[in-house]
Amino acid sequence: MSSANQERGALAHLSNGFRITLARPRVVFFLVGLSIFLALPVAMPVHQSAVNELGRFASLTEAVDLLVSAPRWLLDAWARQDPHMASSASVLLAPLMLLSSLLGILIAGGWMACAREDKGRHALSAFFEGGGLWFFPFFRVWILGLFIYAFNTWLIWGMPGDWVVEQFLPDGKANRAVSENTGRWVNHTREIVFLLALLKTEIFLDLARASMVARERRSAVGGFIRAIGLWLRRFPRILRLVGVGYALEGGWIFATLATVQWMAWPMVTLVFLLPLGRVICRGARLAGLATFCGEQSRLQMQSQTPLPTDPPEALLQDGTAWAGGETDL
Amino acid sequence: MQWVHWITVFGVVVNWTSASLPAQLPSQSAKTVDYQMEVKMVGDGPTLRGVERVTWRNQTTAPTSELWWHVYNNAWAGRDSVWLTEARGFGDDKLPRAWGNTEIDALALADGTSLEWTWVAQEKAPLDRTVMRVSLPIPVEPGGEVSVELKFTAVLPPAFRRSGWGDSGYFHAAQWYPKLGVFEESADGFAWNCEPYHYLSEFYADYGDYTLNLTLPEKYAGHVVATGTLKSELANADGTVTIAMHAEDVHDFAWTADPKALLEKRRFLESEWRDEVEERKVADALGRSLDEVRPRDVEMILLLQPEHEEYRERYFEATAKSLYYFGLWYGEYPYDTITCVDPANDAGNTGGMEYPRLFTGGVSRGNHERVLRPEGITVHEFGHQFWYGLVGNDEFNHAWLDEGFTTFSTNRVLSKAWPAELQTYQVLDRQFLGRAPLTTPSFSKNETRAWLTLQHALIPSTPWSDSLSLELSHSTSIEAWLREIPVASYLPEVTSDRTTGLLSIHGKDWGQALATPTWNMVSNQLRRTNAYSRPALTLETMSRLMGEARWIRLMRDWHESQRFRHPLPEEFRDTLLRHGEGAGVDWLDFWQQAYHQNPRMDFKVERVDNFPLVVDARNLDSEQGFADSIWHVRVEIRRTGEFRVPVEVDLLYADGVQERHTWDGQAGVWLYELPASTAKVVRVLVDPEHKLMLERNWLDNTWTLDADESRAWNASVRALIWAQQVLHFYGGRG
Repeated sequence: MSSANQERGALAHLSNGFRITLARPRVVFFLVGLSIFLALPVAMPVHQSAVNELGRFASLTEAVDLLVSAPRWLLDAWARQDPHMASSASVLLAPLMLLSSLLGILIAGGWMACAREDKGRHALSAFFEGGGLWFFPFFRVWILGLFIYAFNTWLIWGMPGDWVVEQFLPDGKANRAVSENTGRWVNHTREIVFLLALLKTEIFLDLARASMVARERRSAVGGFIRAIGLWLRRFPRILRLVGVGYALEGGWIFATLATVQWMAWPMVTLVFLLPLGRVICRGARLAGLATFCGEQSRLQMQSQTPLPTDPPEALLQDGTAWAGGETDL
Repeated sequence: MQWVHWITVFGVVVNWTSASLPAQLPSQSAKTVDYQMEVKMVGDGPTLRGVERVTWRNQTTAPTSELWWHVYNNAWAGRDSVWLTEARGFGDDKLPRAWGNTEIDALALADGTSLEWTWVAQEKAPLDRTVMRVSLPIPVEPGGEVSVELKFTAVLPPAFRRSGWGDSGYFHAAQWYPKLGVFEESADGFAWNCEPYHYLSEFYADYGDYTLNLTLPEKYAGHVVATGTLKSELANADGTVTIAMHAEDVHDFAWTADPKALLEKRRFLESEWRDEVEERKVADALGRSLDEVRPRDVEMILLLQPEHEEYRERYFEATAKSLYYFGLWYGEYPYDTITCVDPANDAGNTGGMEYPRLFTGGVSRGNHERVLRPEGITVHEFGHQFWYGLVGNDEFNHAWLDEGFTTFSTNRVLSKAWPAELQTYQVLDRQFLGRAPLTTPSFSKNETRAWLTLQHALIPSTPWSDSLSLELSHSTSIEAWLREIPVASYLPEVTSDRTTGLLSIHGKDWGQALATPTWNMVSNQLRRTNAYSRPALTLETMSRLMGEARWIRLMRDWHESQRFRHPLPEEFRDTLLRHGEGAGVDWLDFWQQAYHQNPRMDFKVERVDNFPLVVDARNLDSEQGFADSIWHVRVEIRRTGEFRVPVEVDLLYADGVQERHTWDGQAGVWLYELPASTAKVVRVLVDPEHKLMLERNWLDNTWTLDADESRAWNASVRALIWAQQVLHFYGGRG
């Protein structure tokens, strides 16, 4: 069987995704810079407030570095003296959260387009061209996703979820259970089920996008339906790809923290190192999903293309497959 | 400056060796009341049928022809009780799952003469039946006594507020029997102090002896604890068990039965918990021997939920340390036993409460060892044995004499006996060390902004449909962890001291003075502030201003002189004046401000100048105009709060010299000038030893010449890392 007909393993796609991502360092560093830039408006009011309220504060007895340690009373007093600091950080963060989600669509489009091009262009412009090309189709998937989120939330935290919980807890309340453990496990299960539902939704949405890119189709609903089909046919591989991708991201986080602590590097290095690994891992997952979907799409098309039943006459006449002497296998 | 130090040393010596405090611990109460009770649970409950024979002694100087009773359990008889009516007024709409009540079946004198009773209608709730008035055919003269027999049927509610039962057979009987009020002198003469069961206040009664024979289903054998000492436990032929209990010199009686709970008894041995440094300090301050100040041995009893086995040792340790330090500081615990109840999970409402010789704790699984739960609640509820239990203040009007003192004492024990707590966050009910630098914004479902955070999507109304709010996400601890990555973004070590934690009251309403009767506070938040935190901080401020030795004597005198009595705030004022003399504070003025008024205490370093000294006014634009290394130092401190109190100010100069000044705090400004100093002032500390715990803002009490920007940088780096994780999470959302 030719290699074009062979399915590659999930980890092969993931590692291919890493290759695609790491082959575009300009994109990676741009995204790291973007993560710092977006977070700055939240950090700046904190800085100014700390200068005003704590700049001349002298403590004789307690460690007050505000990086590792601080007494609670000081943090509370600071919040009382400058209540606007926390609220302005919140006010700034809220739209940034939405902006990040929308930028995430753009970035996903960029990585998936890069995966499709693979050994093509590596420039930042190519990345954004791909992201721009797919932004609105992905935005439609995003809108679809909101309804799915709402459904998940209603299912698990709304009436259906409440009904299930009431089968285990009187009035659905943990503090009405005779056993504290029962209450805890019911609540924990609910949280975990919700998390899994969220994760599954994210995977479906990313699969939908990847399949849209693979097939060059711009229908969000079509992409979502294909995603469901892919999930039903290939969910262990998809789970492996995504799961290992998340695990590596988690590993990066802990390894970075351990390294910074062990090497006694300044905490500010985390500002660069943490997003570096997380951006690469996310890009690898997205690119890996894109190549996976591309492979699935190719295999599906190949399986749908009918095999020739009658060889051309020339083969029978002179022993060669084609009159031109070329093969097409 | 050395003479200042010698005078201080001399003052300390005088302080420590001055007037010893002769021991005056009463051995028993006046025994105003005597309760003999026979009570039986009907079936498996929650009905209790009982008879109590009560003797009341008139130890006042006025006669009375009435007996007023508390029937607190009728607070749960219906929506129209004072408690539930007031609760609704405070925005608390909760109701018990099932009603409870107490019916008086019969009431008669000891000689059989039947007595009539009426329910006292309350202004806000005329149908309330928590106060009962009984008319006596013959007045009880001063020195006389009357005995009555009262039959009652009490139905306990499912655990709602302090009292009740759980589904597994847990019963906590508190305020469960008809109990006499207190006949005492008031501003209007002698009258019965018998308030209804208020939402905001607790309980008040006279001291005496209690005997209870309690009959319960046999499953409770070996699983009953109570205010009293268990004298016997006898199995009956009908499948019940009768437990005989007795308590002397208490003003209430509570009991708990739980067939599944583990019951363990241990002996508190003072010698195992000795803090020799503290013992020596107390003994020296009181002028007594070590043996005289050491507390006595007591039996500790723990009724523990099996799921909380991990907290067994922590409960016992907390109880033991409480027995030790409270006994050492205030006078030994006089009873044979102290009982701690760990409430059942479905009766958590009965936790965190105190009764004579018994208190309820409460804890959830998953606590970090650097979080003092259940230690905090155990020490606090034990503390009520001394303040409320042994010093029986009027809880209706002066809850602060109990809660404030207990909060103050609890914080002292916790800081003495355990390392500082650390703040934690929770994931799936397990605690981990750390505190978030900021919080993720959240908005209510009806706010349009909610869609910014992808929590809710508000779809506006149209001509064809109403507005619709879709919940897009539900906050969970796991998601919060994944969103913020606490191990990377949180401050890992935020120490949390209970005493400084009380400073959070400065962010709350102070609208009513401490003198305001507790039951008449305008909100639950004010009640909590005025009963707990504000008096605790006031006591802490007093103690630090007058010095430890004086304070030890004051508190010891207060407890010993008021044990088994019903003290008034004015009596504490007198104790304060007596022991605070010589400490350099006008204590009467302090009391007037702290108790009768509402001033805030606040000082601030307004301005510090180090002007180069002018030597030639004609050359001010060159160096020749100024002396070399001579400074005109000017320090301005403002009293920005209304509370007038002496305060210390430390000045540190660049050459290392340190000066301490004392300002009486009367004027609004303190100005210090040194026209020709050889060094600049580099640091100013107002109240350097944090004596003024009532101080509203410590941040502006200090000033340094060179501002420290590293803290601002560190705080912003933390915030930046945190925001990065949050935004990265949302970058993958959708």
